[in-house]
Amino acid sequence: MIENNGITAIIPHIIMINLERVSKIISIKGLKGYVIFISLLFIGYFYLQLNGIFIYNSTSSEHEGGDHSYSNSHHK
Amino acid sequence: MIGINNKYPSPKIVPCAKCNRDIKLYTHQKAASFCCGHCGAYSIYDKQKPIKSNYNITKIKEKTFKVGTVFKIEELEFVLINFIAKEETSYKTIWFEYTLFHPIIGYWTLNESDGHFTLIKPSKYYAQSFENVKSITLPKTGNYQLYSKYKYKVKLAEGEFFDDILDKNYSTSADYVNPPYILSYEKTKDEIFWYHGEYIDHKTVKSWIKEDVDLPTKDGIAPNQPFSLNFSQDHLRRLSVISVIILIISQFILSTYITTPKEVSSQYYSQNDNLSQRTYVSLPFEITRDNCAADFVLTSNLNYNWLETDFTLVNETTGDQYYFSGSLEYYSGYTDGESWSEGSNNSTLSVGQLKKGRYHYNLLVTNDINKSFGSLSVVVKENVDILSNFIIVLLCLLIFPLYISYKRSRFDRKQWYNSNYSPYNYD
Repeated sequence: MIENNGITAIIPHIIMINLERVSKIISIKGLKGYVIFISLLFIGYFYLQLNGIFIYNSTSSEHEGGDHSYSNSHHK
Repeated sequence: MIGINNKYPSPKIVPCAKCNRDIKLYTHQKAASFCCGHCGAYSIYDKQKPIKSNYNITKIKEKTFKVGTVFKIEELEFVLINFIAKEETSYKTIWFEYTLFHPIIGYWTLNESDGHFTLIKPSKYYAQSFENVKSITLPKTGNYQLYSKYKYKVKLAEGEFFDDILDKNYSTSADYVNPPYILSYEKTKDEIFWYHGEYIDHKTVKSWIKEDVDLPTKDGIAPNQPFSLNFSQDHLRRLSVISVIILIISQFILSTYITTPKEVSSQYYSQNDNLSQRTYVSLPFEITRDNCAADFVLTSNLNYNWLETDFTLVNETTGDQYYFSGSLEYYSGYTDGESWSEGSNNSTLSVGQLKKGRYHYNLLVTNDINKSFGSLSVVVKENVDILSNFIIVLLCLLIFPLYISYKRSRFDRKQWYNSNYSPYNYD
């Protein structure tokens, strides 16, 4: 029981120490704008990759039909 | 007459030895000399009596702060007791020193150089051997690099001084910098004084005084001026490295478990006519994933020849059509004893956002009417990885830290430009 209490008391202390260490390593003080930019970049990246969308495609392609159309080249 | 505030005694009034005007001595008997702000006469103050010196220091007309101005720094009230303009003997550069006095704390100095301010305090640092030392490490503030060694002489002065300022002329001085800090020594024939300073921005200087003062415009970069960022560059570096690692891991997971390419069609076309254009219709094939990208891998065996392909990919389920095109060309030869080649017999065309369904494509091949293209293989792979997105996102992640790093590098080079001990090469 005494041991359990000791461990229970130590765990939050260890968590706090580790959180402090992590916050020292990846402190975002003054970098909030950059963190938001990175977050948006990651969201965009996953959206594009999971939907098969190219940011830049060296192949000129054009889509017609269905309910929408897209193009990344001049219509021939 | 009130000195710093009503808690402290009024300044002592003494007459100027030359023009007989009143001079206020805020430090009373601590004043060892003074210089009249009206006529510029410099007097040694000895045994409570001003003794006229042979020197006549230039009368001060242009200065940022007036003697007697009260500065409230760190909740302590200091009074400005003097102003000295010093000139470096080699390069003739001039800087200004304003001495601030507090009856309990003592003397601090506000140094102004090309519109940059540094608050300088006496330092407890002392080194027995320092004249050839190029770097000094202090426990709390880190490593200081030697920036300059110089001698100076007093050019202008006004106010009272705790020693004979002309006695310090041509003393050896050196500055060690670790922005925003500076560590300096001043070696006279009898003593060595060490000072520690910190760069102060204009906003902070203005907040110390009640009066509205026009501060001089900054020119260039001060030796101890910090690189102006409102964040730590180390934190930016760590954040960027962590982001890049997460992006690489994400790409690896996507490539391994989600975007797993699968061959859905492989067809072979050959020329059996003499026309310059012909259309082939592929056998139908299935795209099994919604919203995926597909690669059309073209392979030919051209030699000194070319062909152009125009694809119309048709979704037989929805009627959607995708148009894309590409070309292949390959030339090789042997000239001047060396073999050469140009172009390629392989090309990959990519299409994105394909819906799940049954497809076929119409392929229009155009080639040189005088030459047969031989054969062309078209392999279709669905659910391919879009590496170009990964590369573009990676570049976007790196642009900001690389830009900051470039700016920092330019700043450091510029900052050390006037130093004889610069670690940079400016050739």
